[in-house]
Parts: sequence; C-alpha cells; structure tokens
Amino acid sequence: MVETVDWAGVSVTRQGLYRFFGGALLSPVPGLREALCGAVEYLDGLGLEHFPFLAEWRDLRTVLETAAGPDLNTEYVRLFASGVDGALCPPTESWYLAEAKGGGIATLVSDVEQAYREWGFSAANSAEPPDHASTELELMSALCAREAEAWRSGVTPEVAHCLHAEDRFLRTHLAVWFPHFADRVAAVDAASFYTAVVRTANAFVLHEVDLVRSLVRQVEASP
Amino acid sequence: MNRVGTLVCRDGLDAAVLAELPVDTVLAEDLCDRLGAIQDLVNGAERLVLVLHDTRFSRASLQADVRAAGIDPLGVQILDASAFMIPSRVAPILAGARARAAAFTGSGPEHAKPVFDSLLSRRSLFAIPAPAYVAAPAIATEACAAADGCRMCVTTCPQDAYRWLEGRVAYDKDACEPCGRCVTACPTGAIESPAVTPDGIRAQIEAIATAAGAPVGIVFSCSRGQVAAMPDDWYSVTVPCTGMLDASWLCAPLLLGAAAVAALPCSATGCDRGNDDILVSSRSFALRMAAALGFTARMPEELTPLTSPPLAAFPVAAFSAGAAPEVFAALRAATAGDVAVIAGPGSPVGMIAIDAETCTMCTMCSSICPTGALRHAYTDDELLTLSFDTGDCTACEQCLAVCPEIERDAIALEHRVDFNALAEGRVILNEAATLTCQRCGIPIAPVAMMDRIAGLLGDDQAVMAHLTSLCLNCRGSS
Repeated sequence: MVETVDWAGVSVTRQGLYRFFGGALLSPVPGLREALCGAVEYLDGLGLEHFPFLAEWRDLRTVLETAAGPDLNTEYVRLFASGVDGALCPPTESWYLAEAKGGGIATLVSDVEQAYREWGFSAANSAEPPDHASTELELMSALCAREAEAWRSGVTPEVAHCLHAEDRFLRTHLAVWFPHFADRVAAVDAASFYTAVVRTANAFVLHEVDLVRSLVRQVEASP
Repeated sequence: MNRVGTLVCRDGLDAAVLAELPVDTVLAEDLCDRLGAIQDLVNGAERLVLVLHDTRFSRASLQADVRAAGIDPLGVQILDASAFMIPSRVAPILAGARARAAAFTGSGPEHAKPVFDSLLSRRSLFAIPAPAYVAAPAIATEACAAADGCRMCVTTCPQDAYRWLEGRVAYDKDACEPCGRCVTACPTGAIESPAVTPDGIRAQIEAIATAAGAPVGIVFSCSRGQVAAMPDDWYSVTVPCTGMLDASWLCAPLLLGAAAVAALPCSATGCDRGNDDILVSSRSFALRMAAALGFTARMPEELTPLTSPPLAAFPVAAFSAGAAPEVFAALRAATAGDVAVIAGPGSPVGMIAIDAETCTMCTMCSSICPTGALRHAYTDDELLTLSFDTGDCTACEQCLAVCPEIERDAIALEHRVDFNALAEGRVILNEAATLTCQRCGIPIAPVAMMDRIAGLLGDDQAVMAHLTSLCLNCRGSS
C-alpha cells in the first residue's frame, strides 16, 4: 500500500518551518515567545509526524511552553550579537566558512547575495547581513513557496527547477555551515531557549538536505 | 533500559500462541487494518515490537503513526505473524525482538534516509508517495581516522557513498543503499548505524537462546530478502546485508548461547545486492576456524535440525570494531582448542611482517594505521622503533598501500589469527638508529632511510651532506 502526499501542502509546511526558524533567529522583539508558541500550534497541525525531526520539534515546543527563562534579548546578544567578549556563536555563514572556502568574508557574502539575485530576491536592508541564518532561512522559505505554487500549477519543469534551486542553496550554503553553528551553540550553552531553537532548526535543515535531494532524484528519474 | 511495548494483531492467533505471549502484550483486533490506532495502544512505551499479519502497509504512514506516539520508528521491530504458527517459537522470537528494541539507543536526523517505495512516471509526478525512512550510517568524526589517511569506508562502499577529501570523509547519504559494510569495515568503529548496533545484535541473540530453553541456531538474514521457512530450532537475526558479516560475526553467536550459526547469502533470499562473494570469504574463514577448533557441525551449509548443545556462554564484546581477536580467543577457550594459527583470506585479524633489510623505517605504515596496531616511537637513546600488536590489527591493508618500499617487500600482511601472538601482545618489529641535527639535536630521519636516499641519489654527496647534517628548521634558518 502506497500513501500519496499532497506535495504542495508539504512545501507549504516546509515554507512555514523555514519562516518559523528564520523568525526565531532574528533579534527578539517583545512578544516573540508568544508569537512562536502560536506558530508552533499552527505548524503542529500540518503533519509534522511524517518527518524524523518530530522529536526535536516536540522538545522545542516543551521549552517554549514551559520555560520562561532569562530575558531573550540578553540571551540573544550574549550568543549571537556582540556580548562582552564578542559573539559566542555568530549566526552567519561567513564566520564558519569564509576561511575554508577562501576569498574571505566579502566573497562569501557576495556569493550568497548572488544566490538571492538568481531568484529575484535581495536581502532586506536590515540589521542582519545577507549570510545571517535568519536571512538564509527566509530565502529557503521563499523557494518553498514557489515550489508549492509549482506543484499546484502542475508544471513539472517548474517543480524540478525549484527543487534544484533549494538543493543547490542547501548544499552550497545553509546546510554546510548550520551544523557547525548548532554544534557551537550546544557547546556554549546546553540549556537555553536558543539552544533548543538551533538544535531543532539543525535537525530540520539536515532532513531538508535529504528530502530535497531524494525529491530531485524522483523528478529526474521519472520516465 | 527502554520500556518496550509489544503490540500484536490478534486476528487468527490460536489459544496456544496467545498463551506464549508476554503478559504485557497488547492484543488488538484488526490491527493490520487500523494502524493509526497504534498511538492509543502503546501506553507510553519508548520502544515497540509490532506483530502484524498483513505486512503490505504503507511504511511512511506507519512511521508517522509511530512517531506521533513518541516512538522512534527506526527502532521498531516489525514481525510477521506467520512466524507465530508454531507456539514454541513465539517466546524466543518475541524475546529477541524485544531485547533488540530495548537496546536501541535512538536515531538522529543524520541517520534517517528518505526513500520512496516506487519510482514514478512523469505522468504520476503529482502523486508522489510519502517518503518512508530507513536507517543510514553516520560518522562519529571524533573517532574517524580519515585525518591520518584512513579510507576504509571509501574503498569498501559498493555504492561510492564515501569520498576522502583532504583528510576527512564526505558521506553522501543519497548515494548510500544502507548495507552496513562500512560499519564492519571501519577499523575504529567511527561509523555507526542505528539499525545494527553491537548491543542490539548481542541482546537479541542472548534473549533468543535464553527464551528457547533448548539449543537454538542463529541465522543471519538480510532485511531486503525473503527468508524461507526454517527448522523450528533456528531463529533469524536481521542485518542490513549479510555481506557486512565478517568471520567474527559468524562465530560470535556460539559464544552467546547459540548451538549453531549460519548466514543466508543474497542468492538464497532473492536480494538483488549480490554480495554472495563477500559472505563466502568470511564464511570460508569462519569454517577454517571451526575446523581447527572442532566445531564445523555448528556451521552447517543447510539449516538442519540441531543435534549439539550450545557451548558454554562467554561474555564477549562481539560485533564491534576490533572485537574479532577477543571473539576468536574466547571461542578457542570455549572449545578447549590448542591450535596456534589459523590463516586464510577472510580473516579479520592480520599479522604484519617487516623485512629489516628493505624497510627504511619511514613510519608511513604506523602513521596511517587507524587502530594503532603499528606504532612508532623514539627511545631515550634516539632509537626509532616500530612495534605491532596483532590484537589491534583489523587486516585493513592500508599500511601496505602507503609503504614506499612495498615493491621490495618491506612489509607484508598475512590474514591470520595467531593465538600465541595475541597472547604475547605488542612486539618490536624493527628499529633503527636516527640521524640527529648537528645544531639543535632533534632526530632528522632514520639512518636506514637516509642510506636508501643516498643509494637513489648516487654520488651526489653534497646533497646528502646537506640533508643529513641539519633538520628542516635549522636548514631553513641557516
């Protein structure tokens, strides 16, 4: 017995998850925790039990619902922004990969911006740089939205095009550095609100790499 | 220990079978037709054994139901109720499955590989099935020896899922068809798969042997093939692929309470992986071991009813990286065998020999050795020694691949288990005096290596004098 899936719906769920994590990693504003709780409730109804990151997602929900915890602003600044001794875990791709990829920070950021431009996006002129986790997650969210549209319109090449773009961005950028970022957050702070957010986001991103690639394979192999 | 729930589809099971079920078993009518009810039936269990009559269910859907119940689907043991037609087999099969489920340590997103049950046509693209997930291996980077040059996973993987990149291994989960061969090939145990953990396999075999209360045979079978009916006293232990079994895996069940052991090749189960040749090599060595220690009858070609009682059980750390010497030594003790050496191509233990005449002591072999079986060290009087412990050798042959003097037979590896050498432990294979820097006094290189270079350079004494008088640092600053 084979159960078929509404892939447009799955894309919408993924779009929502990317937006959720992107929003959670922006510098906090009053009411963020409540907004995230509301989003969790909404996303819970979208069939997350189909995905292997459900356990991490549930842990995050527990953290959101139970722990008031320290002031999110203080925690955010300490971990991701300036802090006393500089950011402990900068949520930016260039911090993790600029050296390894060669060419320095400017080249890497330029690469990321080029990826945005390919799809007609540009990073908003905000406090977060283009290679910030929230910005990269937002791009993936936008790509998922286009993918959902393509599934609905029934245009196969457009679906394939969207999946290829997601696959490329994940494998070239987001999924390459995010696990290092998650490791660093876990090492610095094992029990904070942001640790739970980043751990869950990392599980989601890792799963995305596998899911998108296997979908690409399906589309490519279809006779 | 994880709390294991047992959920059985009640339909068609007679009273004799029901009497054999553990008291905490949850029996459900029509379970095969309403798998969504699992969430309401598991009663807070952390692990699950599921007994179903109809195994044509949607894996994706079942996994979602199990996940929603808070249970990791990659650790669920699913049994076909047709195996329960003989009441005496019920308790051992269930005990084994429950023990294996209980030993499951959980999986992470890195272990879950999405798979689609069928390939689609372009026309049906918009009805892509939901993906199910299978357990894939993951690399524990802190234990991986790729930085030292090890690339066993790269050379072993039949799907080229591993690539060696500048001292690290890149794993392509998408290319991987999880067969587990990398798990047993990895000399340091850095590659783990939640589908086949040493604790899980051990627990299952021990539980089967204990619950049966009579001699049992253990047959390793693969998770993709079809296992034909077997004699009542044989029980199946599933692994991702029987091509992953080395000779120590084939022997270890005998130390855990089994009276006999076998493994089904791909050709016997209809699996398309075609790993018969690999299994033949491992089995051939296991049979050599059996012949030398007098238990060939415990490794039958065909699954026949058992006649021998089990050996005395030995608690061995079987099924893990580097466990083979311990398994073989325990087997020798259990059978009171007095054979000293068993050699053959399938041996997962190796013995290194160094030709002191041609070895230049360049230490390439010891530098790449992932388990530290080959080691080099400087003594206080600046003597460079090369030592070897066969108990740490997994016969991976990577030392042979890097030896620059291999054509002059400087190093040789024999696939063999040498019980005297195992007992002896670490031995010095070669040693060489070293040249020291005339300025700072640190060792530059072994004399033997410099002699070899001098031989290759011929009469260029000026270059040799330059090379042998100062170390690299002092040469740079002179």
